[in-house]
Amino acid sequence: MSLDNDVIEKKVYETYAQIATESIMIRNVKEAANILEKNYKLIVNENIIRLVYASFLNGRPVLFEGPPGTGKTEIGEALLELWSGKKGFLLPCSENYDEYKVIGDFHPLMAMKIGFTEESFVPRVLLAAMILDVGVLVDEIRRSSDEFQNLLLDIIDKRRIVVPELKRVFKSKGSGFQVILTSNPEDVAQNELSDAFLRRVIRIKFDYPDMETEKKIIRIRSFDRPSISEELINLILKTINKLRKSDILHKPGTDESVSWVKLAQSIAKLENEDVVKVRHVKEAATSLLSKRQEDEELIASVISDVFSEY
Amino acid sequence: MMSFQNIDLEIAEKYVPIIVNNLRNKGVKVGVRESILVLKIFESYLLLDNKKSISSDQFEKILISVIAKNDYEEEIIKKALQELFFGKEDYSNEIYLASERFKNKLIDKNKLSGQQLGDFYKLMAIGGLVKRGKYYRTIDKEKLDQIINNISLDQKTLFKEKLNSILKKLSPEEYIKLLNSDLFYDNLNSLNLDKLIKIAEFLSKKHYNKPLNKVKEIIKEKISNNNLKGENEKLWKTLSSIGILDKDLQKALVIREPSLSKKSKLDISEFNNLNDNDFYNEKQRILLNYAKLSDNENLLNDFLNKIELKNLWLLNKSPIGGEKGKLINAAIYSSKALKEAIEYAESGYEGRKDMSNYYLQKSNELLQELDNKVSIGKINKIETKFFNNNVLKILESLEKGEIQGIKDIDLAIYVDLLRSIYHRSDDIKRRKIIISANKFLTHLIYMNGFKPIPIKKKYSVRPGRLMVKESVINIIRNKEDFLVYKRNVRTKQIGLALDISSSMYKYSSWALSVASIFIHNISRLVLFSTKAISYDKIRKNDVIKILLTVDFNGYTDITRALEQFNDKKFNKIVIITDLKQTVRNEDPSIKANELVRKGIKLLFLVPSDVDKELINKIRNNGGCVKLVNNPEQLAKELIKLLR
Ligand SMILES: Nc1ncnc2c1ncn2[C@@H]1O[C@H](COP(=O)(O)OP(=O)(O)O)[C@@H](O)[C@H]1O
Ligand SMILES: [Mg+2]
Repeated sequence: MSLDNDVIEKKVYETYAQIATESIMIRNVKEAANILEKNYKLIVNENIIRLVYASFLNGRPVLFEGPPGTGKTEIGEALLELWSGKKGFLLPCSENYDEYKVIGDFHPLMAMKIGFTEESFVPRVLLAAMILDVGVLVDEIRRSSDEFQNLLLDIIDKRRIVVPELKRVFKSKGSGFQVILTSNPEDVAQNELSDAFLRRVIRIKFDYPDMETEKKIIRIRSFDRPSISEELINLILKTINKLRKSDILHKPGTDESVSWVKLAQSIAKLENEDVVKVRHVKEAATSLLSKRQEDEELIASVISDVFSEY
Repeated sequence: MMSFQNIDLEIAEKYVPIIVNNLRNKGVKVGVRESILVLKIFESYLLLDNKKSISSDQFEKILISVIAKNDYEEEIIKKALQELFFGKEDYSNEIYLASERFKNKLIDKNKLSGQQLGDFYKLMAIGGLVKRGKYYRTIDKEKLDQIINNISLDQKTLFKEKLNSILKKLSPEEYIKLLNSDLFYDNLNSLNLDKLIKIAEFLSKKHYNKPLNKVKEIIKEKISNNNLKGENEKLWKTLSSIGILDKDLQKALVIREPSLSKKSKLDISEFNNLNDNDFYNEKQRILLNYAKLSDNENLLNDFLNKIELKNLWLLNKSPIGGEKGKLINAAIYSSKALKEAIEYAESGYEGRKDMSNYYLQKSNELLQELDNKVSIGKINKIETKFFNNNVLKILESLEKGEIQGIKDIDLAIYVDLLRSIYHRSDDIKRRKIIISANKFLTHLIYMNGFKPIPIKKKYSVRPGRLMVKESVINIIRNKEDFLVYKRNVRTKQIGLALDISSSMYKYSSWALSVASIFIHNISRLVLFSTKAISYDKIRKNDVIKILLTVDFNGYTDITRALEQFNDKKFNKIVIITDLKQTVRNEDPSIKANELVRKGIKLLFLVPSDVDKELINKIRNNGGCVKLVNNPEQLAKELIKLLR
């Protein structure tokens, strides 16, 4: 069946191809690490890239496990894009996902008129990704149901999607269709992943970066001006690390340390200062760190503790 | 000794099946699929990096990423690799290493210490050394190798015994030299009290706390087990002069010699839960001693604040007169009434019942003469009346012959009653007591408005086995039109650690009661005081049995409790304690932090009068602390968490 007369493929190209824009394909580990830093501003350990690529070579799904703000989503998306040379799709999970919502559904009115045919079929993300041969990032997999997880693994294992109503089987055509899943195992509010599920994925653990890496991330992600001293960044990271070890509910991720610095810079700029001062950092802190009222007190005490001599 | 810098495909192909097999024996679920995948990923690494081999670190990471489903399995894999490549568990290796150290050398024993000295004794125990004048040397190489090769599992015990008998004869000074070797801890138990005290003295001077704790523990055990009378005062002096006479040891000595209570700084509340049956005389002597020491009203007030009402019968009569004296006497009668009621429950002698009624009457008569406002310690008229009422209810339900009839009495009294009866019953009666306790606790929890969570849940969609009977009922009786399927509900799983030191008696009785109902949610139960015991996968009746038999005794060693959760991944651990780390061990907040960093959530439920500083310390180390005002509230918090 050629593209011209395949209704479904045509629909996919019409609606999804503009998302899956072409970029460069990079399958060399070292080079990928460089590009991630330069083009995506992401600092990613080569070991992670190597393991992800090795899994992709074998068509296995990868599970990124770790606390929020450790770059799982962003790094996952970037790696999928580098691997397949096209931007992939993001599928944020929700409790009520089923095959109709991710593979495809029938347009109710049209289906009534003309029946369950290719014309009344509306392809969705997963099918589109397989047809376009691009990656899918399934975000926060623990929010979905067991049934959905099994469906997903089945598709990945066999690299094909069956739509029984159409009596059609869609097969993956290249190696671009890969899946990365993310999960935060510490979130007690979400479902646990079953052992059966965990046995079928390659688990990669994410954690908060060490001081030096995080400094590097801050440097490449914050503004050049007004400049901020090494000393202040150290204080910021000290605070952040203390909070990560405390029992506040929302622990600050790397994104929070980056935002903190950027916000301090913005405040300094408003005041027409060339250099970020302690007071800018402090001012930025309060509005940024506390996501819940209960945590405010603790956060304030940690900050005043760390900044006590300033 | 094998040690791999780099691993090539040939080695990987040889070892992956061995590792996988090893993991299966350790309970990790792993199939052929995963073995193949490990090798494929391995090959992909070679391809990606254009190399012939990868580092052993990378190899480990591949295994973990493909096989481990959680942090616990990750640890198992790491250990398995260690064992495989470095043979850590292998016994003959240990000796082999020792022999390597000394081969072809003249050994001056006096210059050895720590692990070196340990190795020396190990070689000695297998007969691997000969003396040459002042020096030792290893025996003929061939012979030595032969002995080492022949050390099999069954010879291991023999070898250990030999080693032990050598170490037993060492002087304290010589034994201390072993401090940094594995032998130091392993053989402490066989040393006599004098030697242990000398060793403790040395360790205490040097502030070596960890080994000191261990030595103290063993000293305590020896003290509580041996029956030498008259030595107690001397022992007290010796232990205190070397600065190791902590609360634990003091208590052990006071129990042996109640007159020492004067010397000790111990609170009477430490002895409230001493078992009446095993320590009847001791307990009475101790309490009388404390009462005697409380010779002014202030002290007496303090004393009566700390002694449990149920123990008052041991006093016989108020040490003071006047209105307050009357009140104390009334309370003593109440306590005697309870005591007699319990005796009645156990023996069935009607005379006991009459005595109990008689004491109740006496108590109530005295109370009637008193003003509502009179009070001393925690004794007052209203509480005492309430207590009497409870006793009366117990008597009534005992007359009817049904313990489970006691529905609305206080949990603590009820548990006391059952514990005491249980202690002296035969097996058949014990089983009955467990059943009635089971009913009572369920009732109690229900009365508080909570239901246990079902382990199986009915579902209308199709995730599990069809339940025929339920489906028929559902369709015919409930007039619903769906079939019923069964599936296991994934319940929340936590680790629960309960402080059973004497001060936590009431709190932990409640917590245990709750735990018995929600046992499906508890994957490990740890009871700790000075020691810690952990239970995995126990059933409801086992928890009840614990409730009825455990000694609420000793001091609190939170660090030890937390160590019980080292081996496995727990998402959440709840620790119920008053945070009073009364045993000198590593700081509990350090241990807490260690667990938190492994990604475990720690929640401490503590009475509200706990030291703020301690709370902050735990919090700063990543633990969560929640305050509760009373045992009932604690139960509620725990239930909320488990549901
Ligand atoms: N390794 C990293 N390099 C650069 N930025 C990072 C890194 N990790 C986290 N970040 C920052 O954190 C932000 C959030 O990351 P995200 O992918 O949403 O985390 P997660 O999915 O783990 O919650 C990113 O936008 C980025 O600013
Ligand atoms: Mg994310």
